[in-house]
Amino acid sequence: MSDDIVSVSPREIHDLVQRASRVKGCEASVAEKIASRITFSEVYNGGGINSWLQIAAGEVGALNETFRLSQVLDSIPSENSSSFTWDPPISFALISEPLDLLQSHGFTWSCEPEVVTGESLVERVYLIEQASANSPTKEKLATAFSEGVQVNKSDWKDLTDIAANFLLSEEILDDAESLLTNE
Amino acid sequence: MRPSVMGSARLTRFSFSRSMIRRATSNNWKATRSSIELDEYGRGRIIYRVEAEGHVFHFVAFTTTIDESQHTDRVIADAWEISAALIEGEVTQDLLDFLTEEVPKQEDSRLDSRVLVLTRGNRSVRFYEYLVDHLASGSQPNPELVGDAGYIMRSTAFYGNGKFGMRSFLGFDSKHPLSAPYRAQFLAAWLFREASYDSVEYCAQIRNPEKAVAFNKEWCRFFGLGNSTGLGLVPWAMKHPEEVNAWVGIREIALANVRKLPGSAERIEILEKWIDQGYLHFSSFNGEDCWPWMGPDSLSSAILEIQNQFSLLKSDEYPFDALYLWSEHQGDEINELVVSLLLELDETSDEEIDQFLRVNSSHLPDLSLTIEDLKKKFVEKYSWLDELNLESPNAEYFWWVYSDHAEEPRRAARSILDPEHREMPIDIALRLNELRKDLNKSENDTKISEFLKDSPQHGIAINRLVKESGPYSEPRENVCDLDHVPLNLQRFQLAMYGMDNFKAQSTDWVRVTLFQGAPRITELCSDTSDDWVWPQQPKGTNEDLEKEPV
Repeated sequence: MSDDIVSVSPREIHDLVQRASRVKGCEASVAEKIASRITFSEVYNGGGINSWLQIAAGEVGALNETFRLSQVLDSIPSENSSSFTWDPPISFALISEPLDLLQSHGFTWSCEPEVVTGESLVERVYLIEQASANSPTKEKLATAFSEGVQVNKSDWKDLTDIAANFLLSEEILDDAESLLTNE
Repeated sequence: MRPSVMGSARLTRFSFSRSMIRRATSNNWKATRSSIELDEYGRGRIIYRVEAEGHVFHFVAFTTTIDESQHTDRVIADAWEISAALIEGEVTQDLLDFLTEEVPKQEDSRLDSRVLVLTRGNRSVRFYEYLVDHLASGSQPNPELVGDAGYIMRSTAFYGNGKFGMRSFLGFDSKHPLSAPYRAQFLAAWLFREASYDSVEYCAQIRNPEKAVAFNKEWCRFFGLGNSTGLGLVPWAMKHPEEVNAWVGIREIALANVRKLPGSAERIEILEKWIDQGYLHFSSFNGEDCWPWMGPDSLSSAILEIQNQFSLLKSDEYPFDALYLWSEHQGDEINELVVSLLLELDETSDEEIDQFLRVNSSHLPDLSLTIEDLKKKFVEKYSWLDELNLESPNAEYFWWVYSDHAEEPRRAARSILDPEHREMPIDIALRLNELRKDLNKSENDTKISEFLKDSPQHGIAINRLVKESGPYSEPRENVCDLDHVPLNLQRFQLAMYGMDNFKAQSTDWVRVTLFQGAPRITELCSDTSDDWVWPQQPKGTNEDLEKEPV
């Protein structure tokens, strides 16, 4: 393994993104969803963590807003074919999991421009309902469970540092407990 | 399940310690000590090898000594006298170097998918040296001095399943010998206990090669592994409804089956044997009740009562049902003790048990559900929320948080500390209550996905509501309430692990032992029986009793 890569487990990605999203102002349910999407993207496409870092480095509330924009893909489209646009474009890392779910409901999808990794920015998604749509495969997830996911060490450190602010100082907790005991 | 019932649970044949030993014996696992390199103080390294169903595992333990002042039960300690890892595969020099560097760091370590479990613990300050000295002088311990201990070393954590870069257990196929829940952790715990025995006997041998003896037959299985558990089990229970459902469900199904069994001489004999074993176990210890639970004195009296009652009921057509019905009126602890005894009659195969407990938590959301569907699910699944007084100011008294020291779960009073962004979302009852109120303000035909666009904060509660996690999935309590007692959820999980000797140290913290009476590695064979639990405290000899006190 190269020095700039670290092997992590899917649950670690999920836990850290969930915590880091809380630190960046997301409510617990939103943070949970974002963590699920980023983990999915990192496992299947790579670049999920880096995408998260890029969004989180933006304006206050950027994560919440990006998540809100991704929610258009959380419902089954009422039409057989439909398209969704984002301007500015949205990170593929935030929409790859909902697209996978729609695929399991019989929709094929394509992105414009074509996506390469979770970091790819998507301007438009086309959805077409097709009886022959292939169910998504889960082989990469099985490999991730067995062998771990190789992620960029610097990204991992940045994410870990942000997520650390989800934890509360032992000293503060001990002091609060003493106050409670003395109440 | 009511919290007080969960807080009275005892180990059963479904407990992970017992199912692990059964799997090992029935599948001819071979466990050996590969190497032991310790000095006279017990500092060094011990390695065990396990060959199991075509797989090879090693338990690599690093031991040292630390000052008594550094001993603590809490997960936050910085130094440990034993730190160890269970790995899959052969131990190469490269891997050994890696483990030597990383394993003692514990939470600060960075591991990889070769490692399955990371653990650590300390020696018993009271007993370790005493035991070494006694064996070194050629004698056995005095049971009056160490018999109540039940362990030589005490563990505090068994990390696994992807923590710190370790392998995710979801990557095991169903035939893998460690694919059942917690099997890897319990293999590690069993070998940890073995290391505690080996450490004492080996040190005694080094100190006095001429006179030292090993533990005799009375003692060689008596000690288990101590364990100390804090609040960490509560978040786990609230975050894993499918697992909780399986753990409760397997007991409930088996109990229902046993209650339907007609009496037969063979079954009655089995139950009477277990009742006798329980009596001999509890009555061999002395001990008063330890709030909130019964101690050995009360338990031995309770078992006598059970024995008397069963002698009156055993000629009934359905004596096991009759005993259960009687126990329902004897309080939760006696009721659960009877359940534990009755479950010994269950004949569910180990394959079925493992399959039942291996749950799939993944969930494909139904994107077509509406608000009306959610309202119906509330009525079907969560009517008990009304009993929790969720509108009371005390309902939100506590919030849950991870401390920055070893990520220890803690709870804090809202009136003293503002959660800010740090609250753990295990306030399930409160979240469901808020969701219910907002649903009542919404149109019935609104799709959930539309509702969530405006109210994304309800995602966790909706997920809980729509998942079919099973009838026993939800601990029926509000863990943020002022009156919440964490010990109840803790004890249920510890009983499922196979732990016993519950000694609550506070409302949040409990000490237990596991694998007391279990076979040692050299005893593992297809003849090993499953009745090793509840050993009697050794009686010792007159010579032992005359020894100097500790």
